Amino acid sequence: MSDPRSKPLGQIRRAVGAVELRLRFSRALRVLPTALTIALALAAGTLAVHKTLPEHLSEQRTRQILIATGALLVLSLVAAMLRRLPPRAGTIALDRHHALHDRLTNALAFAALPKEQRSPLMEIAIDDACERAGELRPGKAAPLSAPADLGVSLAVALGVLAVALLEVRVPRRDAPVARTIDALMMSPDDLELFKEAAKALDRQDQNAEMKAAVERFNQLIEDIANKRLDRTEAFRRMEALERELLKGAEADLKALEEELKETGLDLKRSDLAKDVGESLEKKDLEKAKKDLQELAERLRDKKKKINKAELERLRDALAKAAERRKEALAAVNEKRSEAREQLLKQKQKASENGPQKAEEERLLKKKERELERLDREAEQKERTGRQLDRLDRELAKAAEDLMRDLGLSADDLEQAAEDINRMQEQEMSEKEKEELRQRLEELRELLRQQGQGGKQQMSRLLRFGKRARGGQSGGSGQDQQGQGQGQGQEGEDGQEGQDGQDGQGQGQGNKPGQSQTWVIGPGGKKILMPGGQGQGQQGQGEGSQGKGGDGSEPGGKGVGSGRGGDIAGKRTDSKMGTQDVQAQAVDTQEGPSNSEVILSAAERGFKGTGYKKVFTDYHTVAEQQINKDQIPDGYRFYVNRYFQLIRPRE
Amino acid sequence: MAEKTKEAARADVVEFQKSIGQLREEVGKVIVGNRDVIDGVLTCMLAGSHALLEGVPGLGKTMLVRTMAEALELQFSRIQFTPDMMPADIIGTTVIDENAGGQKSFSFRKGPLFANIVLADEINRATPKTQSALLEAMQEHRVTVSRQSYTLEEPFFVLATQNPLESEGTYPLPEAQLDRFFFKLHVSFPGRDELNSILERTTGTETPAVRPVLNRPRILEMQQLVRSVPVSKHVQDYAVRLLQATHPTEDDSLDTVKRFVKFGGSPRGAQALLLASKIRALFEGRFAPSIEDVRICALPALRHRVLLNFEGEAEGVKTDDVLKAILKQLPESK
Repeated sequence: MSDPRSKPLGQIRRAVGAVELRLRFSRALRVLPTALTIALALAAGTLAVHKTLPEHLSEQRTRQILIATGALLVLSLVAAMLRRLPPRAGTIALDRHHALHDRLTNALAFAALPKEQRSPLMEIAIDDACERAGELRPGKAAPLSAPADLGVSLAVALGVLAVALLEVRVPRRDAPVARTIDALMMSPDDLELFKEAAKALDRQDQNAEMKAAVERFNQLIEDIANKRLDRTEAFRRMEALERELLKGAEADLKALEEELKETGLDLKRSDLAKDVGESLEKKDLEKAKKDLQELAERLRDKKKKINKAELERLRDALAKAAERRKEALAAVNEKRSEAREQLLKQKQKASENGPQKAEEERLLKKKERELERLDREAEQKERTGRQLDRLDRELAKAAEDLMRDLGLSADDLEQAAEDINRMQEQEMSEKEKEELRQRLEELRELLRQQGQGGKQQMSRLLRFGKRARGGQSGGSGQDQQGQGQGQGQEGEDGQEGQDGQDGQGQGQGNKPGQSQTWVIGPGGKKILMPGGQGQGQQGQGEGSQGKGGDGSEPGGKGVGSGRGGDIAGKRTDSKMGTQDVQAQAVDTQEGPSNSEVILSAAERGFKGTGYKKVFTDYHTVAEQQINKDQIPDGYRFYVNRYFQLIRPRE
Repeated sequence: MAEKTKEAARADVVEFQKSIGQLREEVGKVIVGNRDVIDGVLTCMLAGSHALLEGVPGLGKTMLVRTMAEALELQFSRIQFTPDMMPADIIGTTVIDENAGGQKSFSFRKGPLFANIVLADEINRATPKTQSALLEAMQEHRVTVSRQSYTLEEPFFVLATQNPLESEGTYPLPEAQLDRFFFKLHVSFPGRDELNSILERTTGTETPAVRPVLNRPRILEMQQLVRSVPVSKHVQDYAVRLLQATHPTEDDSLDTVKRFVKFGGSPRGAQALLLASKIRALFEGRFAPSIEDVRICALPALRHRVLLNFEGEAEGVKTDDVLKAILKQLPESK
């Protein structure tokens, strides 16, 4: 028989369960304002940072933080709900709300006891609670109401919304030009000249090191062309590149050649190694390699009988060659130690004798310099020695093997040939490096000149380039801004001040004059040089005595007089090997002379078939001279540059 | 059978409530207001224990006890404690009796303590020696004189009064004796309406007559019923936690307790709490006490058992304040 109280007790338990659930919700609601406010504040901060400093907080990261904040909020609510309630919290809440004085709590506690343990009063207490089971209202016992602090959270939420809607205007930044530099300018013609030089270097077979250097040179030219470098940076990069190229050191190479020459002299003493010796003496490493290989073949070939005396001489020559360099190094080292010893002695003596006389001091200095020189020499010998070491070893080994077995010595000689091959490759690489260094030097010189000439020279060059490319119609060569005639012809005088007492008159000629310089080219023909200049700026005329005029007169015809700037124009560079002349062409009535062709071509922007022909003739002659080493190294660039500037344009 | 017992138990509770109602009504004829004090005194009596009434003179403490004694139809005696009072004066003494034949013998003459309700008026005026004469009687419900023990008739109920204002010539009750009082009740000054009623009742020609409504066996039955009231675990646990909270040595006791309390309540305090809660539940016709009952009984049951330290005394802190703070902080369920 079922207990009639089970139903009301079940009702009570259900009500208790509902109350406990509501209590959990209520607890979550209590936590909500704080958790929500924190989460919203976090979100607001994140959004604000994202909007104002987007580079520090990406959109993806912002989204992640916002999701994490939301998850944190949910997590805190769930944690609040799942946290353990105090025991009998549901029944106590129901009892309190319905003013039941723990009737329900007591009844459930008594009902949980075994029936035999229950006293009559307990049973009555359970009955008493059961009678009230129908009246229980869990909703009222544990009401769910919005927390009072939620207003704050809502206010923060509005703030977050405002931040989310806020559009922060970030001032537009022109990213690449943000840092203003005084970009280095080079005329397009010069740039083209260097680009072509770089291309020519690039075409040659190169080792990786050389390839990288050429690439860097290319990049340097490219950066200058794109105005990405200022003077300081350009020079810095040139210096770095040059330093890299100098690593092998020209001096080392020369020393290496000297050593090989010495070795060649030694080897010449043997008939067998005569060819090798001569090749080495002539610094023809390629031939030396072949000769050595041939010698190895001969030694290996059993059919060709070799005289023992010859073999002995070869052995001696090889051994001597190996020994010679060691001796040379030992001699230098001996000299060094002697010099050092003397220097020490003199220093010691000087310190003992107190203040030195000027003569003694000079001697001391001389000794020090000598020691330094010897040090350098020894170092150089050691460096070249390292490269020759393998060759020495192979030659020495060949000499030993010759006494025992010809085959073995042949192998050694082949190895020596390989070493020479390596040296030859290195020498070739050095030549390329030297060429690139030469280009760098030219570039540096060009930039240096530009630096001295300033912006005016650059603008003139640009103007010239533009005109040369036919950018300006007419091609009369006459500029609006002042004109000069002849060699650095000065501008016309300004108006002199009127006579008067203590007066000054001032005339202004503020427009630069431009000169035309003619140089004698090959074949005695004259060539127009664009570089000459004459300036007649701010000419002043001084009146003697008297207040003269107020100088209100305008400058005369755009040129000044008196103490103008460099009125004679820039001196023609004497290094060009030319002289400024005014040559009159002879009219043969057979068509225009070369000079006329050049003059007219220059006026039209170096255009025309006739000019092209003349240019080719001239350029061919210039190239021949360069190739024949008729033109010194330092001037080749200028010649090249000159022809680059006046090349025919399409 | 079980149903029958249940009905009997329910009837007992109903009857209990009815008797208490009658008693309140009779006492109320003489005593105006002070319902809490009356209930407190009744609680002590039904618990088989004793009450200490504290209040200024003239608030009707003696009248209350006398009226209750009349309504309960129990033997009543009143002892006015004075400094020169000796233990024998309250317990009784052995005297030489001479019979008609001229034979003399020692016989014990019972003191005023041999009554069902004893009013120990101004108990703090007696010397500690005399006060301690009450100790055995109150705890064991018996007295020992000349190696002869005499059991006091049940119910034995001591109602002591003391004046909180006068301290000169008084001997504060020792802690051991205080602990034997079930409740310490504060008799407060009556309000305006109550004073009016007092005047009307006491200054007229008619003196209200109190009729006895409960006799001794009935009171003992009621005491039995009180003991049979079940207490659920959570109520008992609350009483224990409440008592522990009065101890400054407990880890989770309040700062107030740690600062001002010297000693917390004794286990007798917890017993008093639980018994008083049961009686209070029965007063209201409930079959089991609630946490609320414990909370209501906490002040009278514990205020004389909690001893303040020097700082508490110096600061003028009252034990009631400490207990109220504890009640406010203590969670009902833990």
